Amino acid sequence: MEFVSNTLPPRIAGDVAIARFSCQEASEKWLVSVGHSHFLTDRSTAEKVLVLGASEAAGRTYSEVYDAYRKAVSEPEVIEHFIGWCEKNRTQLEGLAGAVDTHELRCRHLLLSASACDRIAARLDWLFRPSVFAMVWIAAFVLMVIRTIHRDLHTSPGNFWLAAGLALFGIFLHEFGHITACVRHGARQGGIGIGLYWIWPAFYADVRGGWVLGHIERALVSLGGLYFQSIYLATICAVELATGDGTLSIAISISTLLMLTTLNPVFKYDGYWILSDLLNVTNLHTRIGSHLQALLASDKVMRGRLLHTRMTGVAVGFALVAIAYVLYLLEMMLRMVAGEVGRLPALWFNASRAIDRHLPIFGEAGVSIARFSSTLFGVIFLSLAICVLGYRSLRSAQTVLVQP
Amino acid sequence: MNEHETLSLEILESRLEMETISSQAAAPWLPIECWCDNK
Repeated sequence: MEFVSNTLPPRIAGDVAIARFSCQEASEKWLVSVGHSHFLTDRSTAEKVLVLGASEAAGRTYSEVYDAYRKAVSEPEVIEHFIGWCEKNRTQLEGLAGAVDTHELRCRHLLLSASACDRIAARLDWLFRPSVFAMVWIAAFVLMVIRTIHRDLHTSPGNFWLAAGLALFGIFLHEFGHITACVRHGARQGGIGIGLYWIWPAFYADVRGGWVLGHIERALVSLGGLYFQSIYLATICAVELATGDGTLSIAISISTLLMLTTLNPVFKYDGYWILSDLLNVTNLHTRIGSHLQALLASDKVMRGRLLHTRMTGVAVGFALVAIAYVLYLLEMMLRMVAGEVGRLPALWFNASRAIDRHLPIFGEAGVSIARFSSTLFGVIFLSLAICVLGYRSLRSAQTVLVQP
Repeated sequence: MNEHETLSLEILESRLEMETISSQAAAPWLPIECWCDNK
């Protein structure tokens, strides 16, 4: 290996850590964390990446790095093999820290930094003590049942926009639930932000560091959002029961709808992560796709074997729910567009009549124009959303069923 | 070169846990008026 005598080993930027990873696979898997990226591999590869990524490895020669490798592992490969492996994979190894984040959440903007979240999470940690955790769920459930029984006792009609603001605050608390659970279990978190997922604006909690946890702890991180939102919902329920305030009633309805939506595993909301973690399966969408491809492409004998696996139940159930859900969304959106298009002529007539009659622009004419414009823009945006949702759904289906 | 010389890493998807801001999951950009009407 003279050709590398003057060559430094590959340098891996970013913090590198490795840990045994518990998963359903028959073979032992190891987690390699490089910065915010996480990879699964075998033990031998993980150990080599760790020794190359150690801060003291930077600027050292192959023989010095190999010495560290030999001390760290029980059965090191010979130096020629080690160097050959490093050189063959140099480009890939040096690019690990910059691995492309393929998450579909676009236009991300951080709202609260990791350090700020760490400080707040430290104060909320007690909410995840098992006794508190159980009592809060029970209290929230009981309050919701009482509220359902007494749902007709509202004394005021309520203000929708104020209620929407209360629900929005609930979403923010929801993200703190994920962050707090992540910090409590000793994993790194990256703060709270806002982004655009498919066609929906969304708050997110960066809990990428959660991969270092066991699958039950990861499930608790995934459930943490709904847990915090349930505490908030229970509080609003209690005040609503005491006061009969209609605004709180609307806020409860919105929050409940949000919480049910986030349980949906078809998109990568909490339901997806909860299902992945409870099943202890990584990259669930990809695995479901691969399994369906294998089912469709395999011969009779192999298909028979595959059909009797747990993943078949998960994949087929998931595919049916996904198709039904996307069709439901598209049908609902098309119906809304049709309804709004039907309103446009009357709104336009009112607006043009108000203008013809020289009504004040900051009065009736302005309101009529605003109604027409907002409805028109709504129709345009919703039509675009239908196109995006339809296109991306077809692309996803194509990825699952057509590509090798 | 043998099989151990190939770097085999499965990248894990980013854990960004989200909740949508829209209460109408199907139509986040419905006109203001429609939101109020639907409520």
